[in-house]
This record gives sequence, structure tokens and C-alpha cells, in this order.
Amino acid sequence: MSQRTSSARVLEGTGVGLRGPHVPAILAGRPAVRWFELLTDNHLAAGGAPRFQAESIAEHYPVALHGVGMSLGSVELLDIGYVRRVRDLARRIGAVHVSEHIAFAASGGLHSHDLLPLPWTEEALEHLAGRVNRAQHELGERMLLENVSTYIEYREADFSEGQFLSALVAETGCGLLLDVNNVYVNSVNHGRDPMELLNAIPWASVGEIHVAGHDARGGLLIDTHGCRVAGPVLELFAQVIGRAPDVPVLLEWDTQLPAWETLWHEAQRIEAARRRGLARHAA
Amino acid sequence: MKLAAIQAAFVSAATGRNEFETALLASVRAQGNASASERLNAYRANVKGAHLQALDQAYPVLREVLGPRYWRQLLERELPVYASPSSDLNAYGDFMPELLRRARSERPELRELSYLDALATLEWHVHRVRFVADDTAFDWDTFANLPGDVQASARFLRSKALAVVQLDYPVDQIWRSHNNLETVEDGKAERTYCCVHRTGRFDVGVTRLDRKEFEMLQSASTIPIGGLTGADTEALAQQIVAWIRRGWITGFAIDQ
Repeated sequence: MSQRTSSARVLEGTGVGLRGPHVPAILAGRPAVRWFELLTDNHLAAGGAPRFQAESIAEHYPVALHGVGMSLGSVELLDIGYVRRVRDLARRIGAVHVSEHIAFAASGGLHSHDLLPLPWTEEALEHLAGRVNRAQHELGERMLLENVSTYIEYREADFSEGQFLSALVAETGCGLLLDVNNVYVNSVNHGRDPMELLNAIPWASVGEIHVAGHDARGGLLIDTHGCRVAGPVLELFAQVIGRAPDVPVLLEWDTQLPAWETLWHEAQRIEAARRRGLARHAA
Repeated sequence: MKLAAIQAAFVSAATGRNEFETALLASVRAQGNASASERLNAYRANVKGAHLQALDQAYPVLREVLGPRYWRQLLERELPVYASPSSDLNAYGDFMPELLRRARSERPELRELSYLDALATLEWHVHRVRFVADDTAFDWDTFANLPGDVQASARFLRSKALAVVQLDYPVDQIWRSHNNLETVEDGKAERTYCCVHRTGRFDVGVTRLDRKEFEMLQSASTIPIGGLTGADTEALAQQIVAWIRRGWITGFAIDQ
């Protein structure tokens, strides 16, 4: 299973998660963003503005697709129609790769529209790996799968999270989308060292890195994607960049959406942090 | 707990139901600064937030008419659970007219606002038309070259990005006012017919129809062209040509 080869485009440096309200400013000003990541589910509509936006942005920038609706960890039937719509969208806009999450969202025919955590068990691994293989077969390419933020961990566990991700890569050949904010949020929420996960994952499989903002609510950190990237996350990011120097980085900002200029400024701050991390690593 | 049982309990709990919560909480590690219940509540808040945001996007006019605070409070109380049968968040919210009918019967402050369910119906159609597949233009050449008898037996096809709606109140005025297209006039109960359609590449417009236009547009896809003759054939032909030019009729079908 290989990455899409039909597109000559590559993802380099720091990209930005595309959000609908910013599209007019981006198309009008054509800022020097290295690449955009489109939320797959926002652009699966058969027509109208979502489709136009995806096609227009892809005309001018390298793009990747990042979805939340595949519910790969769910025990429900895999929605093959959905996977094929993702495949068709990816081909139409020349997406460099397609990514999803290590989570489930639906059960009993009901969708939560949230990324709910899987237990780190043999049963979950076997089930998830089977569905990832099926989805990759339908997509005709290797997917990247993201570690999600979690507020709950199950008592029953056969693996640590890092071991689970490693085993998933080994069984499916998928890549990893390493969300550094999620690593940090989980380390605080579950009282563990973030390096446990970073020391366990197969770095050669990491194909994209995410950073985002989080908020504190009660005794938990919540992965809100609604503010600037926090200092401790940037410190962790500097270490991550040392281990994955050529991997594209993506800034996500979804809630409390700022004006495009603010988001662009934050992306430039992340790119500067990435370059500092690279320089530190080279030294 | 087995994976299937965990998932059933988790989705149930996260979407506002309580029946499996005890079993789920027993399977969760509670550590650090938050209890297992507080951790589960973080998911409930996320799920509720996603669904409320989807309703805000689908019903911007209702939200403005009721006021954002009242709208949010109404949804918090009237939506007991936050689950959807579809993975598509754009498909969430078709229940709003029914929810408002129920709320009006139970809430004195809403009793007089009997146009709300009609407004919700109209906004839902606007929301759906926004995401429907783009149509191709009507193929005039092929249609013109059909033999006369085949033409007469053909049926026009309405655009997929079109909804023909019958409403109990002239709420299209409220919708247009919200979109700065018109000022609101008297809003008394009045049977109103509308066409919800695309304007340009992807904007959505609402055009008032008279009853005759409504019935003709509604039946255009089911009655053979030869059967569409009215009292004024010339006017009918002009009307259909106008609809084709506006992209409301985008094709034709020939029954074998």
C-alpha cells in the first residue's frame, strides 16, 4: 500500500487547517501558506459551497484530507459508501494523503459526532486493524491515523497507548498522524509522562504532525482547538521535530475561530518553532 | 466489558442517556484531578456542543428571531438526547419543526408564535439545498431534436438542488429580511408557496410562488409534458422556459 502518486505535490513545513469562513480571504489574497488540510467531512457534500471551496483551494495549494466520520474503531458495519466518497474526494482534489482517527463515534445506529476512546486491548486492536485494512483497500492507499485526546482510560488494558499504536502500524501498514497537543493533554489528564508514548511509537511511520490549542475545564485539559498553542505543547513539539525533521506540521484551530490574519500569524509562529527545533536538533 | 458493550454504553452515555452509565463508569480508571463522572461529562459536553453548533448553522434565522440565549436554553431543555442516525452532521436537525410544535404547546411564551414551525421547515429546506449535488444545465439540443410524440410523453426533471414548499405562514419574508433582502410585512397566517433553490454557484434563494405555479412545479416531474397543457398554453410554455433558464428544471426523462 503506497501513498497517492498521481499528485506531484508534497506537503512541507507548516500548513493550516482550512475552515470555511477563511476561504474568501485565502482565495482573494493567496497567502504563502505551504499547504492546507481540509476537514474531509466538511467537503463531502455532493455540491454547493463545500465542494467549490475544496476544489478552489486545491487548485492553488497542496492539500491533505483529515476526517472524523469513518468511526474506524466502531463495532458497527464499516460505512463503505462513506469511505468511497472520501476516496472520490481525495482523487478529485489531488489530496496528498487521507487521515482519520484511532477512535469510534457510533454504536447501535447512533452517531455521537465525537471521537470516543478505544480500550488498549487485543480485542480492540484486532478489530481496528481489520477495519483499517478494509478502509485502506477501498481508498487504494495507506492512511494516516491520529492519536486522539482522551478524558477516560479503561481499567482493562493489554497495551500502553504507544504500544497499541505501534502494533496497529505493524498489522496494517498505516502511517501515524502524531498530534502533539493530544499527547500533552493525555499526559496531564492521565498523569503520565508524555515521553512514554513518544518513546514507544515507530517514528518512520509518522507522516504528519498536528499542533493545536487546549483549554482547562475542571481538573481536565480539553482539546478544544480554540486558542493558541500552549507553551508546554511547543516544548514537546521541539522534541518531536528532532525525531521527525521532514514531517509536515499542521496547525488546527476550529472553535472561537479567529480572523484569518490571526490564524496565519499563529501558523508563522509554529513554523518558526519548527525551524528552531530543527536547528537545535542539527546542533 | 467487551468492546461492543463498551461502545454501546459510551455512545449512550455521551449522547445524554443514563441507562448504561454505571457499568461504563465501573470500567473506567479514575485518577488525578477528575472523577470518572467528570471525565464522562467532558464527552457529554463535547457531543452536546457539536450538535448545538450544527443546529446554529442550520437555523440561523430561528436563532435570531428567538434570541441566541433563549434558543440555546430551549434546545438544552427540549433536546433530551444528542444523537444522530447519520455520520453527516449536516443531516442533523430535521426534527426542529416537530420540536417547536411540542414546545409551543408546553411553553406559554411561545404559544403566540405559531409561525415558528413554518420558519423551521423553510430553514431546513434552505440548509439541505445548500449541500445537494450541482445539476448540469438542461440539454436544449437533445430535447429539441426529439420527435413530437416522444417530446409529449417525456417528463421534465426538477433540479436536485430545489425544494417546493407549502407553508402556513409567509415566513419567506422573515428569511429574506434576515438576509437583508426584504423588510418584514404583516405575518398573519396565510398559505404560502415557495421554491427553495440555488442562486449562482452555491448561494440559496427563496422565491414566492402562486398556487398554480406551486402545483405545476410540484407535478412537473410526474406528468408527461403533453399533459401539462393549461388554459393558456403559451403562458405555460413561457413559464417552463423561464424555470429551465433559472436552473429549476434541469433535465427530462423519457419513459420506455
